[in-house]
Amino acid sequence: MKRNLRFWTRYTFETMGVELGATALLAVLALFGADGLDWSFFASTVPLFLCISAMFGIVMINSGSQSLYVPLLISMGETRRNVFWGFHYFRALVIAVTLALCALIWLAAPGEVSTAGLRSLPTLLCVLAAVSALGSIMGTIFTRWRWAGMILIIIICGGGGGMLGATGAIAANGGFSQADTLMLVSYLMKTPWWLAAAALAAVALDAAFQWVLLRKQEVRL
Amino acid sequence: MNEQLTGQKSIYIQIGEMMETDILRGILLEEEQVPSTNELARLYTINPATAAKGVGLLVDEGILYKRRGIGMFVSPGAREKILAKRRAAFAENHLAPLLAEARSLGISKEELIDMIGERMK
Amino acid sequence: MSLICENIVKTYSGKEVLQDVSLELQPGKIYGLIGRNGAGKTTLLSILTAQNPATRGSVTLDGAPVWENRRSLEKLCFSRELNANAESGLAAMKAKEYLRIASTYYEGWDKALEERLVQLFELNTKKKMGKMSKGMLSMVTIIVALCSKAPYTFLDEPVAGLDVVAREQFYKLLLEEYTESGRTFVVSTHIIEEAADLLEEVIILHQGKVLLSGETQSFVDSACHVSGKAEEVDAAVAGLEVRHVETMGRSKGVTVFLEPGQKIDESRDVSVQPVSLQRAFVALCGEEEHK
Repeated sequence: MKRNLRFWTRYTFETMGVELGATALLAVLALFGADGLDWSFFASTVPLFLCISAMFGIVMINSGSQSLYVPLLISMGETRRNVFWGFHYFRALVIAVTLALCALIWLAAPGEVSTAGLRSLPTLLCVLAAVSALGSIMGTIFTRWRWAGMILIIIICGGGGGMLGATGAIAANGGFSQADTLMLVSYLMKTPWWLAAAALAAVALDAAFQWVLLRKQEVRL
Repeated sequence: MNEQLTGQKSIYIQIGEMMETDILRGILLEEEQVPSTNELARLYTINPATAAKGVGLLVDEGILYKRRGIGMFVSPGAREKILAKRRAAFAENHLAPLLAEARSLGISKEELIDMIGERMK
Repeated sequence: MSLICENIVKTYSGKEVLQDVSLELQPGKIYGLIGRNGAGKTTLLSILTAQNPATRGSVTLDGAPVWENRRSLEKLCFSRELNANAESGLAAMKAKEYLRIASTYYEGWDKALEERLVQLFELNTKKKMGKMSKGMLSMVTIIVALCSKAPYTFLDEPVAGLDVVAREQFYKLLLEEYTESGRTFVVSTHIIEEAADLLEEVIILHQGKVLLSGETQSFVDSACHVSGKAEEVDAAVAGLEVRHVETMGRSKGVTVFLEPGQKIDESRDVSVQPVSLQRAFVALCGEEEHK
């Protein structure tokens, strides 16, 4: 098990690197359009960039890693059970670190932004969890049934790229104004029960799906 | 040792014969240690079990003896044993094929004896 | 601590790829797994190492089932034939990374040996595996197999793509590692004659069934090549299992397999010669039995 954790942890940090890189890029873009550099601006935009990059990163890397790492690790003698847990550990870790970073930024932020941000953490958790679960399901479909996966991947790429692009555009155009951010955040602050339920359902569905497929997984490198 | 292995005989038999030849040639002297099965295996790139089988044959015949924890050694009187063994097998290994060949060529007993006489002058 | 598989059956889309395969692999031996393409060798090796599930049957190591059992699995290493074509995810991975993952998963990984072998093979591990030649990929699988130090190590076509000098290096390395560690090796190979002298036991797989499993020496000794005038040969081998008949004019050459106790009628005017492992295998699996 220790071995397994070592592998996935390293993999997590590699993924985080990509995520942070994308975030930094967006932040730099935002800087160009911003009028003046102040902490509350930073604190309101960067965490959102982080989350969006995380979502993008998780979905993109999910599909690739599933078709590669799962058979690879089994071929190295790992049990399917451990691969299953390792994969979930990796996704949970990425989400946890992302949210931790967001929380840190919000903790250091002034007044309203801080409380608003911190209150939106549960919602963000649900969103990230749901997205990662859906991404994983898409990824598995892609691996197993290429044609359906192809269509889905195009949608995801389109969606993800669009999201990133839109964020970039907004960032370049002066970033989220205080008003925008507050509005967005007010949505995020309430964690509607249906969102939490949906997230839980997505995660459960994905887990079940993975489990059933893994049992029969054949290695064909 | 260091002869090439052929496909004509089982490898373990060849190992045994090569070692016997070395003893006859004075390459391996009495009371000297012979190469270990691992060394033999590495030299010929064969499985150690095969080397062990060949060495085992010689141990069974008393040509080699085992010193526990150290290895295999050439027994005193090994040369004589090998010579005796090969002499006894001479008829079977060399005469029989010679006579079969002579028979198929139609060489008579007298012709054969003459030929041998010529060669042994 | 034997690795035993019992009554393994594997079906792919209705076709039985492995039929009732039962084997016992004992510790400390070098086994050869030989068979034609499609005989089921890779499938069998995958099942023995729990990488693919068997349709029926069980695999146990020292009595404990191997499937999903980390304690058993860590004693096994299956170094597959790597196929890093464009489709496979491995193509973009550097050999260095592959070896690093292997070193994480095999306890007892011998880093010193890894470095020595990389140098010996002059392998550029920074290269992506999709860009490596078949020979280089084989070198990677050899390194994984030898450095894993697993008590039961399986190699699938380890010398594919290697030139003759590299192949001989491999046989010597295998032997060196075997004599030092006493690990069990199971080598599946097409290059039979080169490896024959290394194999203590041989397993012949033909069309999903085990035709033979036992000492290489006994198998080879049980076969011989009988040649001479056709009538004489037929008389000499009457009642014996005859395979691989070759004729030219009035002369005939056959390969026979003797059951214990059977002998060739040596009163006949025929030449009897020993047969190599490769010839014996081809005779056994190359064609149908002649009566």
